[in-house]
This record gives sequence, structure tokens and C-alpha cells, in this order.
Amino acid sequence: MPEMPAWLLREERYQPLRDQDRFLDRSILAFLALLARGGALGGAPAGLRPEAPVKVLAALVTLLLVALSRSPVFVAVAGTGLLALTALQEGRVIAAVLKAAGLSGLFTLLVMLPAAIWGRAPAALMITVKVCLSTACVRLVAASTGPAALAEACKRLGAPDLFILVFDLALKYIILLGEFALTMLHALKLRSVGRNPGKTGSLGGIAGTLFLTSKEMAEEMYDGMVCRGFTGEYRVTGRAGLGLPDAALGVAVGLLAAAFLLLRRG
Amino acid sequence: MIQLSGVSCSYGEGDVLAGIDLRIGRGDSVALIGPNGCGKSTLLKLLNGLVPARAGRYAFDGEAITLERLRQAPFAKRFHQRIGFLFQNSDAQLFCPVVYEEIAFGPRQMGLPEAEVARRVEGCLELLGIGGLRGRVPYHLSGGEKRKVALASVLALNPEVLVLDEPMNGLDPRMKQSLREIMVALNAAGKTVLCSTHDFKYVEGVFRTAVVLGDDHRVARVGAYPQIVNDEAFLRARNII
Repeated sequence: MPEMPAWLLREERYQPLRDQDRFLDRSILAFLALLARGGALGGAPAGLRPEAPVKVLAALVTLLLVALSRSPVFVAVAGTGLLALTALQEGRVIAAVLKAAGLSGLFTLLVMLPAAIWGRAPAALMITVKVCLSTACVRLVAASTGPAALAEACKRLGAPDLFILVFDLALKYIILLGEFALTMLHALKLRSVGRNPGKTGSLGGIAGTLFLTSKEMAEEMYDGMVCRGFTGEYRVTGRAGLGLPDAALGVAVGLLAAAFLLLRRG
Repeated sequence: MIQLSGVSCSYGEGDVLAGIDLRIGRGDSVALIGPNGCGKSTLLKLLNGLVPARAGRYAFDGEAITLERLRQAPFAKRFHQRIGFLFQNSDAQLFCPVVYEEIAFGPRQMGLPEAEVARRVEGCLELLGIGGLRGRVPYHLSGGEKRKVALASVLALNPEVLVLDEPMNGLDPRMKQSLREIMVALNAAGKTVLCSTHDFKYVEGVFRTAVVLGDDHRVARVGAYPQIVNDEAFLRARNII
């Protein structure tokens, strides 16, 4: 065993210098929020909850109709329907949907501001509302459906297995990677005991390690799946039993499609 | 040096630590023992200021460690310099492009002159027997080498307290033996060593005190390390062996 270096035997008389490192705390908080958000936040009360494939299909149709429509009345109808559906959810889901829609709407409004100033206010407003609705629609499905149910819905809707595999791995590993990233940020914070002029370099190092780790983790997980008989084909066990909520959502989307056709001339 | 009085901690559902009372003196060597999921890692994180206590008081060298205090950057930085933490997963602790930079990261932050930084890096490399790794990329090292580089990066800050979370996990017997010698030497040099472990075979002679956490997330027993690890009936009853 080599001798202890003399500096390691001395008491450290160190007074830290001031530095701006709130970015690190903010990054840690952002990752904590991401981890806390993992998976579904909740949903409508039991009995009012449609099956995941029906939800995904309804969302896709709504997104398509909203994107294609040029009628402000139709967009208002779609918005009203979406608001009504959101109102049936738990408080956390409602908050998540409104927050996502609000932020995306605000951002789009800023981007559209020059168009509005140059006399295209109706078009700018229409695009902003459409972005709001689309974001709310996607967030509503994501916040009220678990990752496994989403993967199953993709399979039932005939999505290619490769797409489902990538989607499934991404959803599963976003939480694990988030935890890993959080640990790395903690490590950086514990050793950030002074002034660090190369903050972006340290964060770049973390991002690089995270990338390599995510690749290894995904490969290991895929190998694990293969070892347990996975052949690249996703199978869905059991049949989706469609109930009253599914029928109700189907009717609502049907009415929306009818409204689209009736109001298509704007 | 470290005093916990009635500390509880939770991650939402139930307590991960419940009413922990613990006192660790300067220069002590303490093993933290307990079954999986009893809260060992959380306790170590709490001691490093990474997770807050829900209730109770944590004092480090007489000063209360609270969220408010840790929000004051100069205090937090000095605190983190005084207490070094070796993570269970060394992969997550290494973020610099080469080993030399990894070890130099802390001393450079402290504003030490580059000559002193180099002295510290070389001292750590020599102490841990990893001089040959100075130009290597940390990500591509073996598990044992990564553990040693992570330890070197912590030691370069010259902390008074060294907290190690399951440092023997995943190491081969030779590496475990080497890490054991390093822990003994660091404690003999005056460092306070606190280490969670259930690898009793390879930590013989390292610890004077053992703290046992139970399944109920409370301190089940505190006593002399040899007495506790030789009390087979107690360890079996506590699901530790």
C-alpha cells in the first residue's frame, strides 16, 4: 500500500467562491419532475374509461380532422368536445392537459405574432387554436393511458412491430434513464464545490455517458427479451372488450366527423 | 461529527427511514448493515444532503443541515467538500472525457493552482494503484477500475468524511481486497469512514462500529462491529444473512 499523500492528511481550509450554478439545481428539479410524471397520471372514473386502442384511434381521427378543417366553427366544436372529455378526468390529468395546451398555444402565438401584425390575424389565430387542440388531445391520451396500454393499443391498431418495439423501449427506458441522469447530476453537484467555468462541458459529458448507457441498456434489454423467446413480434393477449365508454367515444368522434363534413366549406 | 436525531424520510408512500438516531464521531469507521430495501442508500444520500429529512434533525459538525442551508451555495459547496460520497453505481459518477480530468475536476473547482491539482491527481492515482489509467476514457474502464477512479475523484477533494455505498458490489476478490486496504489506510489517516455493506468477508478489520437498519426502516442495533457480525442468530433474524 503506497504512503498517504501529505495533502490528504491535512485538514482542508477551503472557502468556496461564489458561482452561478442554479442551472444544476434546475436540471435536477426538471429530472425529478420527469420521474414523478412517469406513466399515466390517472384517468376518468372507472366505468367512464374507454379502452386504449379506442382512445388512440379517436385521438388520431380528431388530430386529422382538426388539421384538415378550415372552419372556425368546426374547430370550436372540436375544442368544446375536447374540453368536455378533459373535464371527465382526474384533477392531475386536467391540470396536465391545460398546462400543455396553454404552453403550446402561447409559444405558437409568439411565433404567429408577425403574421397577425401583417394582417393575417384570423389565420394566425386559427393555427394557434389548432396547435392548442392537438397538444391537448395528445396530452389527454398520454396522461390517461399507461405505457403498456399504449403499446398494446398500437398493436391492436396494426402498427408495425418494429415501431412498437422502439416505442416500447423508449417508454420503458425513459424512467430508468431519467433516474440514471438524476444520479449523474447529483454526482456533478456533489463535486461542484467551487467555481466551474466549464458547466456546459460537464453537462456534455453527462449527455454523452447517458447516450452510451441508453444504447447499452436498450441492447441488453432486447437481448433479454430474445433470450425469453421474443422473435420481434408483439402479441396481444386476450380480446379488447368494448363497452359503453368506447361506444360513447366512437359516437362522439362520429359526430365530429359529421360536423367536419357539414362545415367543410368554412 | 454527524448526528441524526429522530430523522425520518419518505418518497411519497410510507417512510424509507423512520426515527433514525445516530451519532458518528470524528475518525470513526462505521459499517451500515441491513437487508435490501431497508433504507441504507437513502440514509447515505440524506447524509450527503441529496434527499431531505421529512422530520427530525441532521447536524454535521454541530451545524444543522437543512434544505434552506443547502440552498446557500457557499455553505453547500463547503459541506460537499467536507463529505465525499462514493456512489453504488460508479458509471453514474464519472462524466469527464479522461481519468486525469475526472480526478482534477474537484481540485480545479476549488481554485487550486494547476501544480497542486497535478500533485493531487498523481497522489490519488498512486495511492489507488491506477497510474496507468490517467489517459483512459472512464466509460471504457472495468467495473473495479471505475470504482477506483470514482474514489480518486472524491479523495482529490480531501474530504473529512468518506461515505461509501456498497463499494464492494460487483468487484472481483482482488479488487475487494485492494479497496479494503484503502479504506483501512484512509481511516488510519484520520478520515471518518461510513460504508454500507453486506460483504462481511472482505471488510474485516475496517470497521469499529456497526449500525444495523431493520426492515421497519429503523435502527435495530448499534454496537461493536465484530460483536454484531458474529451474532449469527441476530443477523438471521434480521434477514441480513
